[in-house]
Amino acid sequence: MSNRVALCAVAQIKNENDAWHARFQNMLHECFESIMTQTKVSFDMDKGIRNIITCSDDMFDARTISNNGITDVVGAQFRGEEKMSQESINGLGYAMSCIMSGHDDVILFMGHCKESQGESRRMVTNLTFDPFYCRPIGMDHLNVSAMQARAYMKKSGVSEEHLAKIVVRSRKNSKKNPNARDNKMVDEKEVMNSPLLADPIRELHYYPVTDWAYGMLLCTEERAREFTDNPIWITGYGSCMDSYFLGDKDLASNFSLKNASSRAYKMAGIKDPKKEINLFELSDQSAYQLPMWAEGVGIADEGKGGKWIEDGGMDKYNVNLSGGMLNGNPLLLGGAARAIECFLQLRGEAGERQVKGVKKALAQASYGPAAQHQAVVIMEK
Amino acid sequence: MTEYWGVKAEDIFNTMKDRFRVEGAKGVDAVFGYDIEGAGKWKLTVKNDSMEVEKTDDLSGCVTIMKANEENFIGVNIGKVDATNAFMSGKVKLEGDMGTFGKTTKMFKKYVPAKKVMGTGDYIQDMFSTLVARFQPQGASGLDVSITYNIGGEGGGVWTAYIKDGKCELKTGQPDKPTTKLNVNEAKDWVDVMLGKTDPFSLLSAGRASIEGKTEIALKLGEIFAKYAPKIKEFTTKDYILDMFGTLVQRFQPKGAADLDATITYDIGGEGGGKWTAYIKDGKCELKEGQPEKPTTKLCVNEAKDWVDVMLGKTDPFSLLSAGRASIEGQTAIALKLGEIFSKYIPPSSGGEAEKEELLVLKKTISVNQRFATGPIMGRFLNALKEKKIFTNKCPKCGRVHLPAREVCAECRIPATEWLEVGPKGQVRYMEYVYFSSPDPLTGETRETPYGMLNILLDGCIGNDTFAHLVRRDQINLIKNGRNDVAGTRVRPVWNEKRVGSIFDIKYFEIDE
Ligand SMILES: [Zn+2]
Repeated sequence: MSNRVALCAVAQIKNENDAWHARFQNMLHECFESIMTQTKVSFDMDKGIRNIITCSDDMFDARTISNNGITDVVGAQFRGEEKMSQESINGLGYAMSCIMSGHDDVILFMGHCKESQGESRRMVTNLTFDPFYCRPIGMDHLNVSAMQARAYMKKSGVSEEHLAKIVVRSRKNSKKNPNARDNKMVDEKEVMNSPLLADPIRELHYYPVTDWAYGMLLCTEERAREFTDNPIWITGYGSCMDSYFLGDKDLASNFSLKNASSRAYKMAGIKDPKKEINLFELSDQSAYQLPMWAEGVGIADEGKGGKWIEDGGMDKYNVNLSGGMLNGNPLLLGGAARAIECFLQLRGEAGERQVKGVKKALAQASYGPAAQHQAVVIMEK
Repeated sequence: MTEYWGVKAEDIFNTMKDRFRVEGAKGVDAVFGYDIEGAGKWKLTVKNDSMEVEKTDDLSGCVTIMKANEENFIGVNIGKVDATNAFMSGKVKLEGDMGTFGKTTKMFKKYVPAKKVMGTGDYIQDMFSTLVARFQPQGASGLDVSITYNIGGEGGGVWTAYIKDGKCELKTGQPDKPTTKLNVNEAKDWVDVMLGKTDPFSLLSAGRASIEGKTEIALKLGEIFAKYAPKIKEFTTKDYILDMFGTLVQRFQPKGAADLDATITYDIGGEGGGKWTAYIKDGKCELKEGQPEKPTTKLCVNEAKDWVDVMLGKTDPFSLLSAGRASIEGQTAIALKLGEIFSKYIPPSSGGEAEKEELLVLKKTISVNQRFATGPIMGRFLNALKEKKIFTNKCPKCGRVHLPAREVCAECRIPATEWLEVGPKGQVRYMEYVYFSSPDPLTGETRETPYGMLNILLDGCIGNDTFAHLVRRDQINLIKNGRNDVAGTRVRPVWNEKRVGSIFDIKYFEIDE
């Protein structure tokens, strides 16, 4: 068994603010059909897909065990189907372990989230908190991120102007990505004048409500050529969980991301990410997170996030050319979106935003209050 | 103004005075506004230990204005809508000083909707017994009149208000020539007028009411008397005790008292207490106040409240006895049989459920409202129901006709592209009797039990492709399940008059005879 896993094909629908015309079943089915057409994979019990991994969230789908509503549209009837109810990037890690353990040789990995369906994304994220101690205080992902933003910006010299720059760049990049959510172009002044949601986070600093779905086909190195002439290899994966209660940790420390990325680097044999990795996709749910995660994966110096922005770090390291999560991907699916962008760039299929000569790329995603959980995937050509 | 959960927005404002808690308003000196869409605007003025609430169009000078629609406002006040959710989702908005507004939550006792369903007679009684209290001297200045109310029908009667020198007196009956006489044929109509459900002019023009004497006095009634508001009160210990003994004879079970010839005295002490004796003989029961010289059994309870708790199941009688807070004289065996002699006391409303002590209770209902897209397939299926058609899609490969319509054939993993009409009649494959009433997630409404849940093989469908629905409740015992080649009972849908594109466009299925 080789120690690399092939990503043979990806499929996605366009990120939309309100996919009113489709149920999440329709959204997924479109991706499913695309994977079938691209790879000609079957559901044969010996040679085809025996196991499907899905990623979705009960609260957004308004049903307990959200995967029960999608088994048919992901082809899971009479096959194994296992749900990742966490950041989709963990689904890649899980698919890797299914394949590398030898239990399965082909995995279909599908995910969906329709944030527009619920009346309030903040109310959903309020439910991720402890019901006895934290929910009563009104915590949600947005306002605890603001606490982290405050701590981090002070530590790393990140200013309001830096945040504005990040948002403006994200929107500009998204214009070159046909699958990105259609957002209004803004200038720095507009960003700095947008309403404060939870100081220092302003409306335009935070990722907008979005509907999206995707599909991926993964398999062993040995079988990759059956499904594509141009497989991309997943060579490293690492994840790390930090404490649930915010007060237990230093919000600006980046501990879990440093830990997750160093595990992924070790697995992929990477010594110096600055030199060896050509492209980075970071899950910036809020603008302050972009330099913070850049520090966490080691392309910005510790405590120097502000200076890194000023010195042009974002373009130097090819960070979030897709527009990033900041331009709009639903919660849970940021990691899959990052990995799909890395895949397209490594294959040379990134259109107008294509970077020449990308050999290695990194996708990162976080989940939970103030990025409690972090995971990193390394992909190679 | 619309009722939600049997409550109107004005009920909540009208009861504020009664629910005001002086201790919660200490140090507050502020004016709050309420802008309830569809119901109107109210202004609440709080100054230390006093408060005023008035309906007004002018909310200037308010430190905070609450904005909500009637449903959300009422729901939050009676605990049917989660306040945090409503606030976070913007259904209830606060403009201005939120901190000060927060104090209003401590300022009022919780609004408790009227528990007892009041009949026409109760309303009529209540209206006339509060008439003098509702008299407004400023609205009657200079008046020297007698106004007779001649209310016919069930619960009716004749009353006359004598108004003179800024005073009002109410007597039953009528003088020879009252200044004004209002004749209403049906008491119920008058109740509706007083509750604002009907306007008096339509009654007059319909000939269901008439005015004799001076009409202009009748037109001034709204000034002479303050508006009638039905009283809303919680059951006190005394109310419970009265209700318990008032229903005792009704609750008597001759079977449980066979051959019993006994007198059972209840001697209940404390506030709301009293002494009652049940005389049981020849399978009959009679209740009288007081006690005979030697009752067969005598129950003594020191505090009426304890007895209420026993009857509501909050305390068990043995712990009262062992604590010396109650005692039994005479034949103990009869006291132990009370549960057989009388059926369980059920309070007028189960809304007043006993508060059990719990270690930790999460009161917040986890609910985030959702709006769902249908997509083209589900949309087509639901739209067909509006036309009284069951329209679904068929797998082009295996021929399966699944219900409801779905995006793909799960087994063949391809889109089911061919549309066809099936049913609407079919045969029952299996039916389940259900004895609990799960609420409908779309409406929150529960259903009567037992009910029958069906899987029907609609005409044109094969194998296991059945359609799930309900059966007409009075037919659940007549349904026969089908199996393999054995046909089940034939059924047909009963369509709703108003069809909106929902599973309940079909009310239920009934036997097709
Ligand atoms: Zn089929």
